[in-house]
Amino acid sequence: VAGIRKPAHVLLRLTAIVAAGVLLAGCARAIATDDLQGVVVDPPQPKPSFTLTDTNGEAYEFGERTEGKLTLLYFGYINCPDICPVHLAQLAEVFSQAPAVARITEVVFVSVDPDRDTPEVIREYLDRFDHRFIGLTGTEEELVTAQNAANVPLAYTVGEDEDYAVEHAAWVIAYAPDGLNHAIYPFGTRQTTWRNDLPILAGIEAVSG
Amino acid sequence: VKAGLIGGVAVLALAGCGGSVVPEITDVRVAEPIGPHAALYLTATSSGPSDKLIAAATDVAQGVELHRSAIDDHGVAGMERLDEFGLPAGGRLVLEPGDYHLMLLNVDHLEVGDTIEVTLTWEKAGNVPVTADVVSPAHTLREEP
Repeated sequence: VAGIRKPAHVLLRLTAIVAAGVLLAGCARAIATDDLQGVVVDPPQPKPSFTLTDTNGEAYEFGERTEGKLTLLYFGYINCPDICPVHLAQLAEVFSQAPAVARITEVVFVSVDPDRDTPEVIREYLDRFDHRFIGLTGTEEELVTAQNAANVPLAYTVGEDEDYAVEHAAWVIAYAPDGLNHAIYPFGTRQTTWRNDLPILAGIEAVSG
Repeated sequence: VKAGLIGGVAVLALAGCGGSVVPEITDVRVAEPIGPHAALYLTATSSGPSDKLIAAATDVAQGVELHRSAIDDHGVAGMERLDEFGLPAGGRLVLEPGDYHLMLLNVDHLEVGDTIEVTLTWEKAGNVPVTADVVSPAHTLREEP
């Protein structure tokens, strides 16, 4: 009899511990996202899966490669002198001052200007900010798929001459290690916001492990 | 005496109409170019009549265009080329990231810490030379919006 009761007792205790853990995780999460200064996405949205080409010319499956990592996804183009470099330079500077945060964060820049931005051009560009930044591009069709998957408006070109502009989503999408997009960062986000939010986002782990 | 008085009035009138009320230009900064072009930002403050910035030139770029970035209700960033930027009488014209800026086309190699000379051409005030500091794009936004 004792042999039967004991496992039941242990199971009950285990259940209680797990329940408390889930509760705690739930609370910690609510408090954490309350402290975010970015634009909170409620409910959080799942990380998309799409495949593009990285700056080594190799296939990069976004969902798989960034699994379990704090991931910042941004669509832009290199001839953009006003908006894109501000986001990237600010992130690079935040990372240089907080190497611990840099180590756990993937920055993924997707060029939506495949005609001008070859993988080599993208690599050279990103290296001016931080050599760890990941650069992706693809065919027009692949880029449409990626933008739709990430739920951003499709970029489009404006102007006929070689200095055409590309209109594109101006925000950075942040996916926490739990694989969910908890906040976005519009143009004009200051470094103080990144310094506040990145550690919080990094701490949002998947509850089920 | 009378001639002197008339002369003095004439000088004052010339000062008023001749466009010698030069806007005060501050905070002139150019983002270190990472691609082929670089964006220049500044603040112009008028202490007189309204004016218009109609052109700019510098030796370190192939040309300078007047641009305005704008972010629409959907968060999409776009850019348009303008012919002029208005400076209201007694007001300010602010060039900053995500808004009005001067685009230096195919700019020379510039590094943080360099300075460049730029001539601003105003419709009334005429040519106004300014010096721009080259800064990291991380520092083109002013610290508070």
